[in-house]
Amino acid sequence: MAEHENWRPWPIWSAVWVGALAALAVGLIIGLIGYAVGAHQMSGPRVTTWKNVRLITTIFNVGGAFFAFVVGGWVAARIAGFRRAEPAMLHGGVVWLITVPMLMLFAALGAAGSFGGWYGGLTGSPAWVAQVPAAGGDVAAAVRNTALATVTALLLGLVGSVLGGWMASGEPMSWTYYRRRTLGDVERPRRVA
Amino acid sequence: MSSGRGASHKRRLDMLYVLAWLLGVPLTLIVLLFLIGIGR
Repeated sequence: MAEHENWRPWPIWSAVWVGALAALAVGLIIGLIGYAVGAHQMSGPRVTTWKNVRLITTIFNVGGAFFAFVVGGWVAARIAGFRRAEPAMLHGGVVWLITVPMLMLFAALGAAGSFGGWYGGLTGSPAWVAQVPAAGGDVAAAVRNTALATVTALLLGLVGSVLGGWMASGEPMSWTYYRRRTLGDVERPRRVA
Repeated sequence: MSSGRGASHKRRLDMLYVLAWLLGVPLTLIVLLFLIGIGR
């Protein structure tokens, strides 16, 4: 958006909010489908080692965390109407930033489990719950693995939202294109998705 | 935008890039986590 006559206040919050809501909705749907087909276990044993994690659980968690945010970033960039990859990707990133505190709020309310099993690390002990978890080797391993899974899910969401924004800009998703783009003779960005 | 066979070929290539990103990222991670699960 180098053209000054096209300049708009930035970021475009309405697009970002709708993108964030879309990401949450799709994440919820994929998470609930995961429960419906038995990929997640609501009260299963805690993850103390990766060996116990089934493949379908991994698929649903990775797919849910990724594609929910792909949709979120795509929706935000399409509503904002970006034709350049960079502002579109940045708006995708802003969508992710908006959803992180929302997910933490859901986790505090106990609703983050519906998104899949990997957001458990967002859940602390709420201040109004007087409950001290038992300490021990197993608990420490579970806490470590839960944190690892949550970090993975969150970062995967960031990657997804940025990719979704990039996709929505309609510019080719290849690096070589951006070396030629500023040479002037390049055609208008094509809308591929 | 040019038309004809070249443009359609380019569009197909762009679509291929989109698919490669959308499938490549999650599949890579799933395979990686699967290998970690086997290894431990």
